[in-house]
Amino acid sequence: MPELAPENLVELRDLKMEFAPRKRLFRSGMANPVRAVDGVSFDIRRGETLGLVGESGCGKSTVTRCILGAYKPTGGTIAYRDPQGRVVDLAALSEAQRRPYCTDLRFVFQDPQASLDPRMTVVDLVGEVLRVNGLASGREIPGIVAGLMERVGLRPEYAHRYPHAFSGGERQRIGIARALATRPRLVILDEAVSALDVSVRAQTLNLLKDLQEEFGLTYLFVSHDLSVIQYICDRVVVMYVGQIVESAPIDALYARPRHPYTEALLSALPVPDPRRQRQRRRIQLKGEVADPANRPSGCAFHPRCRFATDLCRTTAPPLKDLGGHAAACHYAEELDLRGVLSDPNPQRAHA
Amino acid sequence: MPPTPTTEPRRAGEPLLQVEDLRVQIGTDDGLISPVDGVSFEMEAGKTLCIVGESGSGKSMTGRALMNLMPERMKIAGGRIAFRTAAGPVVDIVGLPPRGPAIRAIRGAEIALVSQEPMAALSPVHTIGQQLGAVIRQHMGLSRKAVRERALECLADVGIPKPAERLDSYPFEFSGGMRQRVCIALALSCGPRLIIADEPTTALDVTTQANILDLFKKLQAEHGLSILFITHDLGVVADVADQVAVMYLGRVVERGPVEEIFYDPQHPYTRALLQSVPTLSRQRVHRLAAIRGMVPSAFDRPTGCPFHPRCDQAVAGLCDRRDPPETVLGPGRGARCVLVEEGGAAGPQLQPRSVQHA
Repeated sequence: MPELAPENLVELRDLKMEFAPRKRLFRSGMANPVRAVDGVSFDIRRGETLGLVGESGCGKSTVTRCILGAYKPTGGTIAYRDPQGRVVDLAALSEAQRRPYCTDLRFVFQDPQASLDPRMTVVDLVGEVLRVNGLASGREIPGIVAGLMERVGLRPEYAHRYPHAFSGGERQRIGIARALATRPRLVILDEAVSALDVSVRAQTLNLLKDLQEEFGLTYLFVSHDLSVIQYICDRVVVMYVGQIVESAPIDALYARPRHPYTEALLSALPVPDPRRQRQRRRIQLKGEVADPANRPSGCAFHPRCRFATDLCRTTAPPLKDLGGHAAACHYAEELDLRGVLSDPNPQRAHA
Repeated sequence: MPPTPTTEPRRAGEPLLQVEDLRVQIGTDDGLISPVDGVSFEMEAGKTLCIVGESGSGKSMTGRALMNLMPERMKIAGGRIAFRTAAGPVVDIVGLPPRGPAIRAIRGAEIALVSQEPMAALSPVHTIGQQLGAVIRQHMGLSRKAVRERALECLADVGIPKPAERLDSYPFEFSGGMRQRVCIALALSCGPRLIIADEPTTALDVTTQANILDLFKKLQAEHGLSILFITHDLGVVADVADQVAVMYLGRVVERGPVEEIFYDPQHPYTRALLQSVPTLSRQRVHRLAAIRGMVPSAFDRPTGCPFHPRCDQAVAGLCDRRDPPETVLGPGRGARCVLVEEGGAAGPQLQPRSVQHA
């Protein structure tokens, strides 16, 4: 079994998820296989919040589903250190063998409306996982659920209500309580706040920070929203068409990205400050996100990249380490790319 | 009808649209609710007004009401929507029969809608050319050949590559961003003067969103369009708005020029909203200032000021009883709050917040 660096909880190495080609409608022959995740390697350190960011179709959700075992990866390893200190490769386990780890790795979904069974009450929704895994007896469950509800800011008296009786923000709290019920070590939050209103989103983000401190949780926070990532994450991994283009500590990435795709993403992010926003220069990306079934040769980003050269068209750049900051670009060292953070001394608003 | 849309420059500052005390009611099994409850604002020609608010604030309903496009069981229950038509006279859209010829001549031709979900707005079984053609024929009465030419022109205008080939494509053959461009082409096809864009970029990726926002700006500059932009994203507001109207529970609680709303907000809700979004500053905030509680349901409207149960500055015995009218603070600038009404009597509490990222 692979070794795991002491600070890491999970290490992904060369993870691949290829979806088998389907027969084409009206056309003979097979379509190309979809390489949704193609050689992704990153570490999740104990106690940190790691952001996973990218546009739709970049494979970020597929990565999380591989970690959870919803998909069986077609290649690579997912090394996980269990509470006893043993290292297992989650990717190699059968469904039955994975069972003991299901309580360690938990998930909060984007849409609480869809992820909560409308015909179950809160006490059943949150308690089910305890019952199924034999973590609590039937008589203990209501007490534990009440405690969890209180912790996530729901009134325990509402334990016998159904999901429809709650607002969107409250439903997401039920989802969080359910994820926390088993005392997990890693919580994967897949666009967990994207469907929430601005004011409720802030509450939920604050709650997640508090819970992390209290329970020593590790988060993998998947989002397309770079401003939320900057607020909650310690490090971030940027994906493009199934591959990692850049990974770095938050401040380094937002101050000076090293990959042109990251720069374009940051430049496209609207900043809620009209004067700053209108002075910013936006990098227009040509064309569309590449098709993972039909990835361009060389660097997958080259058809949209303003710095692309012949080298980029022919040779795929490896993820190079630049001292805690890694980028998959041939010119990562040379390019002087622009970040998004406001200057230390911005023009002050009149007050 | 002119063969090409009117693009003659309009005098700046002339109100294109004036909404006064607009009310929309929905009849539900549990009684009447008012998702729009006394909305007033005005729009200058050639400018962008952003309506910003959380879900349930009535911002989309307000947009629909401007076209008198009400779903079943929903009706405009009062107020006035004065729209200056291209021909000159001002019409009250509220007074027009929703299925009559007068409103039909306005919908599509003078006021057009771009909605959030382009796949739902387009017919999956007709080509882009057929869908564009239907609208153009309806409003502009052109020959077959001229219709096709106009459709081509529209697609090229919104930046769709190789428009002649794409005219015979179906919506599923386009990407999300391109579909939204098609919807914008549809909205533009008859040369409207006002576009109601209801969360047009919410379903799109951030780089695609940036391209669509740029497209709106370009079209506005070229055609002198007025845009009513409905969104919940304060970053988008900061990018596109000239004027902003902040809505909460069916009311405009504050409105004004974009810089004044962001740098000198008067209503506690506006301030709280601005503080609850991450600002991408070099010094990361440790905690966001969240607004407590949640937007109440329309069945359960608080008495007095609708925001008072969540407001940190609510005055007991005043805010829960009195529903303040809008205090006018300048041309196109106003707020509905007792603290503003009293002209700063509440003292230092009313100082505008210092800008967070400074």
